[in-house]
Amino acid sequence: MPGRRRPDPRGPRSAPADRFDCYAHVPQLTDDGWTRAGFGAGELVHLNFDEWYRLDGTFAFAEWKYERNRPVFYHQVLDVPAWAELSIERDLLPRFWPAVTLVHQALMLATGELIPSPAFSMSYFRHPTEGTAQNAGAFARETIVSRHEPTTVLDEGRLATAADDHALLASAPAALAVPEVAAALTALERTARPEFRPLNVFVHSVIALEALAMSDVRTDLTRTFSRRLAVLLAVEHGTVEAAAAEFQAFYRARSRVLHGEDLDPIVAASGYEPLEFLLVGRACLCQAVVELVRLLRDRTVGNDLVAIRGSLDRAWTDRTAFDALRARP
Amino acid sequence: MIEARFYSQLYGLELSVPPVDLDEGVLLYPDEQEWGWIERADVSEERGPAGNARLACHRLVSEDADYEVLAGPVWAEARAKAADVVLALRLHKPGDVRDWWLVGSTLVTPHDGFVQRRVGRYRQWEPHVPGSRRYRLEDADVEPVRRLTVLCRRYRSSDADNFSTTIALENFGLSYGPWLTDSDRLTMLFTAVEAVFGGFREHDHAGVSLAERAAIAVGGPAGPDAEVRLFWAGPARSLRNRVAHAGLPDDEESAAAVEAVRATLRPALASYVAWSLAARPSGTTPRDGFNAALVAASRGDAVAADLLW
Repeated sequence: MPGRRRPDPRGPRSAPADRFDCYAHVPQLTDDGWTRAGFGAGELVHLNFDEWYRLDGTFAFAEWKYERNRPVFYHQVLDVPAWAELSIERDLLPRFWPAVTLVHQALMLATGELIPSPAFSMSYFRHPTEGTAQNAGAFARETIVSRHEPTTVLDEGRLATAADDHALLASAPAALAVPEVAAALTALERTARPEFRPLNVFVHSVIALEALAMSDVRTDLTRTFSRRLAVLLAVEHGTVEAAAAEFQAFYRARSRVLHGEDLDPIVAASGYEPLEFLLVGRACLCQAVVELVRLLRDRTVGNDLVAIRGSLDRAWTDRTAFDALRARP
Repeated sequence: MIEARFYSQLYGLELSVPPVDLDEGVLLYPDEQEWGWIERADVSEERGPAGNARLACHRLVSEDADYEVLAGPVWAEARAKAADVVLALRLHKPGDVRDWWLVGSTLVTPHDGFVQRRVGRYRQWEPHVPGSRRYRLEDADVEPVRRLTVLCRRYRSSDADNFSTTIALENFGLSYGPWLTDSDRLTMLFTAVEAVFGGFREHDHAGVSLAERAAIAVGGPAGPDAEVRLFWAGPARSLRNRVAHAGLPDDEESAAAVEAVRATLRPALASYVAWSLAARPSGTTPRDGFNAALVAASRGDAVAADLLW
């Protein structure tokens, strides 16, 4: 009777693989001097013009504009089984694109800024010997070569926050599948597109916040909205009332917009500049998504949004319940 | 004086008898020389055999002694007028006509062949809209589209604009945007509905439901539309819940839902714009004033009806 096979000291045998360097351009994002930073399973990288030109030789004379824009790409190496009929759509995109989507979501959540989806720009798939394939979105190379406003500067502090948010999202697939959370992430992507004006971004952000905070209630909407979100985002219990006043202002502003009234009285009382007021609504949506994903993942106060909302209600008056929300396993 | 031509690309539009003369500007299929101005040759060539054939544009001709004025405020106004036309076409009937500002706009001074192009952010958007979704502008459509174009321009250039009407128009227009799921489109359309009528749970000050007011807006002088009342009293509410809970996959049902909501919004928005231009209510918000006018008109108030329709 033969004995058990001894393990191969070189490790498990693997089938021959093709290695691809995959790049996706993140539109309207620029670095503040760094060139490479590890991010998830890949890295965020500013390719210099020569590096980009080796991937895409379309604009031979665009170096000055390109370097002024300093575009940022997400880069990840993917190994796929080697075969003659390899297809980008079939063999690379289904693995690369979910990774790019998660990177984009993390960047939006960490910055609160309007960063359009990489799906609208260029992506590249470089094989060491076979050359580079391209996939062009609707913007084509426009946001690689030319700067479009608003452009988000990703400094090292925001880069670190984005990496943390990315780790959180990657560790919480069930939380991302919760319908209200998925809808909020979709709203963030949709409203980052250039056709959305700030007032409409604000309205859609508050509607998404409503869905996160209170799709279960029918009365006392302003109070429920402002208290739950204040508890969710306040740093300490002593500040929840001030935070609630701010969320009350957002909710009333949404109502005034849809009624056709101007926002001057609310914005003036808030202390924000008008544009700033509108974009703070989006920033709050980003923070709310991060906090809810964390609570859903850690299950510190329950398994679902209903349980979390109950905890938020209790924590308005109960400091112990508030501290339980802030506890990290 | 310098003569300038302004071209705004309106892909998806099919013209039965071009050119179509609107209040200001013309809808047409540009000829070969004009395409030479509108698009760079390499962009046209990338389109393959279909090329520029049957791609429509809005063309406006204007004059000024100063080129800077033509390239500045006059061009801006020409683009705004093209946007008025797109909105009017969409308010008139279904069909996938695309905004110039997503695709592109061009200024030409024919006497010296000088061309300036303003590239749209989505210029790589496939310009040839599939046949079944194209917007077919027939002879019978021209007069109502012309009237709606004037209405939209008057609203844009008046001081009657308000956040509610503007947000409703904006979200109605955005629902025609690129790379959206039907759930995305419905999210925008329900935002427009809320800006026009309020929420599902809200009644107006006379206690009239959203379903009834929607039926009044669509039925117009002929009286409330019974089918619309039924849709907003039942299926629309469950549709909205499914959209909010990510339970509506893209299929024939969702596409029909998008068109059903737009079918209510078309006459309602046109009435809201007309009412915003005509009425100056005090002591009430524009949305409440408009809904009160709808209810009053349905109860025989001729003055209210006149402001709406």
